[in-house]
Amino acid sequence: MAAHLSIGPTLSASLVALLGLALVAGAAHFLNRPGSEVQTVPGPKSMATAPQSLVEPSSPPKKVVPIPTRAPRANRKAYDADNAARNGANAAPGLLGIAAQTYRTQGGAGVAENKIYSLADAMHDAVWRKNTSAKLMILMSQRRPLCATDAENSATSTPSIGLRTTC
Amino acid sequence: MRYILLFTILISVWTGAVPADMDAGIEAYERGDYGVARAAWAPLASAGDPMAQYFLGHLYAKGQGIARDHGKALVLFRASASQGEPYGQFALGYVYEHGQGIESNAGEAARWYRSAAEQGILPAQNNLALMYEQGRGVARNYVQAYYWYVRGARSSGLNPTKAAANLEHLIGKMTPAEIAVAERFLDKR
Repeated sequence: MAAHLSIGPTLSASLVALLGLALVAGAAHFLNRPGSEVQTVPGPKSMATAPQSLVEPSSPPKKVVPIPTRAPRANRKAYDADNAARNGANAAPGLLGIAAQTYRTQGGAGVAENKIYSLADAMHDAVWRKNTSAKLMILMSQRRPLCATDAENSATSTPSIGLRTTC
Repeated sequence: MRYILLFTILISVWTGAVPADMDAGIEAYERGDYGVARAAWAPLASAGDPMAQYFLGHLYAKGQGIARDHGKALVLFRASASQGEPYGQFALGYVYEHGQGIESNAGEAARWYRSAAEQGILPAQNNLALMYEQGRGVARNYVQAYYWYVRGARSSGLNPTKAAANLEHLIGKMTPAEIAVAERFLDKR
């Protein structure tokens, strides 16, 4: 019992020392990892490239039209189209040019009325689809005898999954 | 037992007659013979056929072969839409958007357009996209608008050119970053 009491503190002290060493070793390993070096580099790459316009004052930044805060919708849309046209090089130039031109030729605010599919459009679509599906049904029914013949043929010979693909 | 047999025969005759009457109505409609179309679709609509309810509702909404009646059209569109018929849902969205027979409600319009759009109905996809573009009934969201315009433009349905033209117009208002997000959104779906 006395031996246990005397050995106990010694073991505890050894364990604490080992834990301390492990922590120090772990920390040293962590600090030496390549990933940790990235954290020590000051600032992202974009910070280094951002002040380009300051270095080259001959190329001024693109003119940005301020958004009217309380403007009517039509004005706002005009802003959208104009600004999009100015910044077209950054987006999709071909489509953008057509869009802006179409917008202007159609008079701006009136464009929205032409964009909507109407009840008549939907009815036309529904009838067309209904007819198409009806025609498909007829075609399928016309093909049915072929499948039946194939099935009869297959019944007389060895059943094969491959024959089903002919239907 | 006799009644069950009679009922079965009646049901067989009735179900056999449905496609013929529906098709006869469609053929008549395409000829411009709206009275015959209505006569073909009305019994089916009364029996609860959602497609016939939509077709008949359209005749009332447009006043084709009958006096225009937005109230009756609304009842028929609602009945059709509530059964999951996508064209009925589109029509209900449209009358909500334009306040035909009911007070205009952009939120309800967007909701019904969405139901139809998700079932692949080109007009609904386009009109929902437009609501997202303009921020009506839903929060303005160009990415969502782009998504639904593209779905419409790629549709195998009839005349997707309007949806394609609308997509071009929208692209003019989007930043490259927004377009990239929208494309990723499309790839995920």
